[in-house]
Amino acid sequence: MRTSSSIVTTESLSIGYAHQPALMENLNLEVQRGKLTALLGPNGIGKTTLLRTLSGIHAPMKGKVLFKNTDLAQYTRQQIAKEISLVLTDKPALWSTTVYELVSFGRYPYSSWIGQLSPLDHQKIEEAIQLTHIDFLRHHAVDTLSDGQLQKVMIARALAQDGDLLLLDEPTAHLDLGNKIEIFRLLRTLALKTQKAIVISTHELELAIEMTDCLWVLSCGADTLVGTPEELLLSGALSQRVSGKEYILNELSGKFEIAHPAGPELAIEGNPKAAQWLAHFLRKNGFTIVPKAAQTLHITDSPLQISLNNHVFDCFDDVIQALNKG
Amino acid sequence: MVLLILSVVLSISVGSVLIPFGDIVAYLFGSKDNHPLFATIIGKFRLPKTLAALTAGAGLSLSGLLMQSYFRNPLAGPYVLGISSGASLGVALLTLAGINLAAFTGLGHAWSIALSAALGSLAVFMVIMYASLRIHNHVMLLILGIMFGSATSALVSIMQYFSQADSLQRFLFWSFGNLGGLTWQELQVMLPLVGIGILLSLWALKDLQAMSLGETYAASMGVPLKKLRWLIVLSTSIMAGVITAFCGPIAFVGIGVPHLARLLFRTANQQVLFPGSLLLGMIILLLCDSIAQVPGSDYTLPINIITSLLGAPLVISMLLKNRNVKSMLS
Repeated sequence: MRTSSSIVTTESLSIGYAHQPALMENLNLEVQRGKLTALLGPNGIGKTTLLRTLSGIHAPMKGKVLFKNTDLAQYTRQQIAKEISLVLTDKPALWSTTVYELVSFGRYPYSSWIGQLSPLDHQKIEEAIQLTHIDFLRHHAVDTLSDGQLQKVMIARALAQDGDLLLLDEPTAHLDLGNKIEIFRLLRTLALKTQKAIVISTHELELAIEMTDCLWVLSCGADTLVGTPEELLLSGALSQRVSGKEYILNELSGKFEIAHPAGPELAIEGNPKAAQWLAHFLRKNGFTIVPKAAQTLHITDSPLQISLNNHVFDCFDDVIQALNKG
Repeated sequence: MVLLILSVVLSISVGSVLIPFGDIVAYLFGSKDNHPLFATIIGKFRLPKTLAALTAGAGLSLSGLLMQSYFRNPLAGPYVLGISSGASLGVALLTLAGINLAAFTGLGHAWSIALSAALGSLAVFMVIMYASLRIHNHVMLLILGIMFGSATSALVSIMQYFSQADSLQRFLFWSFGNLGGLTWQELQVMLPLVGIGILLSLWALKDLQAMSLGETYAASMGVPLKKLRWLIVLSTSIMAGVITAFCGPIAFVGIGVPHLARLLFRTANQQVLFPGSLLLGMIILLLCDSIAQVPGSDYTLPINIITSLLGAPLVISMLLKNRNVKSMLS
C-alpha cells in the first residue's frame, strides 16, 4: 500500500534494546505527508522506542526504516537532522532563555560552525513562531511559560528545524483538556498546511479519533492495528481491540463507556434527553437499564418529575432511595 | 573590558614594593628610562604573575562553563569533579614519587610538569565521562567527582607520607596555589597550551548550545556527541591540568565564574557566556590575586585561600537562592 505521498515505511521492523527481548516485532507501517498519525498503546509497549527508531536515534533490532525510499541507516546524523525533528517528553531545564532563542535552537543543523544565524534562519524561525501562534511569547523567558505554552514553543523549535517528518512523544501529557484540543488542532492544521508528516504518541484515543487522520494501535501479542479512525470504528476492529473488562469503546459515538456490572433491571420512559441522563445515573448506582422490565420509571424535565409506582419524585437522589427501600 | 585593564594595572601595582603608577604605565608602554629596580620587579615578578592570573582565570572559568553546559549541572567544575585532583596526582607523581619524566622524554621541566598534570586530569575526566554515560543523575555525578577527588588525594597523601622533607615542602607550597612563582619559561608553556584549550572549546560552542536541551534533542539535531565528548574532555583537561600544574589547585573559579556571568548577562546563550566567562574569570582572579598580596603589607596569602573564602559563600548563596539551580539538581 505504498503511495506517492508516503515518506516513511518500515519493513519487518523489530524494535527494542540490545540483550533484551524485542518490544514489538514485524512492524510494517507507513507515514504519509500532510497527515497526522496517532500512535496508541499501553505504557511500556514501546511507543517511545518506536518514535526513537523512526527518528534514527535508535537503531532497529531487525528490519528497516525507509525514509524517502532509502534506508535510514544510510543517512548521516547531519542529514537526518534536516529531515526529521523531535518533540520529547523531557522538560528542558533552561534558565534565562527566551522563547525566540529556544526556537532558534532548531536551526542548529543549518547555522555556521560557531552558531551564527543567517537571514534565512531568522525567516524560518519567524515562520515557525507564526505557525504555532506564539508571537506574543517571543521575548518571554522559557521557564515562565505554562505547560501548554511550552509545548507550542517546543513544536515551533521542531518546525524551525524544517524537516519533512515531525515526531512528537506524548505532546498532550499533563495538559488540560482545552490545551490538549488546541495542540491536536494545531498539529492537524500544520500537517495540512505544511504537508509535513506528523506522528504523535498519545493515550488520548477519543481525541485521536476526533482529530487525527490515521491510527496505529500497538498491543501486546497482537498485530498492530492501522487505519483511518472512522474505518476502524465502522469495522468494529478498534472497539474490539481497545475495549476491556472495565470499559468499552462505543462504536457509534467513538467514546469510552464504563462497563457497569449488571444489577436489578429497570425500564425508563419519557423525553429522550431526560431518560438518557436518568439511565446514566441509575447505571452508576448499580442498576441495569433495559427496554422492558417489571418496573418502569417515567421522567419529564422542566419541571423535573420522575414517577415510580404512583410516587412522584423531583430529584434523582430520592429515586435511588425509594428503589433501594423497595 | 575597561574593568579588565584596570584590574591588570591594579595587579601589577600591588605588591610588597610600592611602584608609582606612572612608572608602571611607562614600563608597559616600553619606556626605557625607568628605575632599574622597578623594571626588574615588574618584568621578573609582577608581569609574569599578572599574565598567570589572566591565563588561569580565563582557562579555569572556561573549563567550568564547558563542564556545566555539557553535564547540564550547575555545580560542575574542574575542582568539584576531581579534575584538579587528577592534576595534583600527576604533579605528585613527578615531584614526590620522583618519576623523572624529563629524562624519559627529553622534555624540559616545565613541559613535563604540564604533561603529567594534563594526563592526570585527562585520566580522571575520562573515567567521569564514562560513568556519566551510565549515570544520568546530577547528584550522583557530583558524588562521583567528590569520591574521585578523595581517592586521588589519598594517593597523593601516601606519596607525601613517604617522601623527603624538601620535596614535601615544595609540594605543599604548590598545593596552596600560587600565581607568583612562575618563570617566563613556564609561562611560555602555559600560555600556548591554555590557548589551545580555548580554541578547542570554541569549536564545541555551538554543540554545547544544542546540548542545553538534553542529549536526545542534541542527537536529533545532528550534534556529534562522541566528538563533543572528546572535545570537552581534551580541552578542559588541558586547561585545568596545565593551570593546576603551574599555579596549584585554585578552587571555585571554575564553578563560580560561569554563574556570575549568567547572573550578570542574564542569558544562557553560549555566544555571550563564552567571552563573558573568559573576561570575568580574568578580572576575578586578578582581583583575588591583588587581595592576596594584602596591599600595604609584606605578606602574600596563597591564592587558593582567597578564592575559597570568596567562592564558598557564593556557591552556598546560589544553592539557597537560585530556584533554577535547585530545580536542576532535583
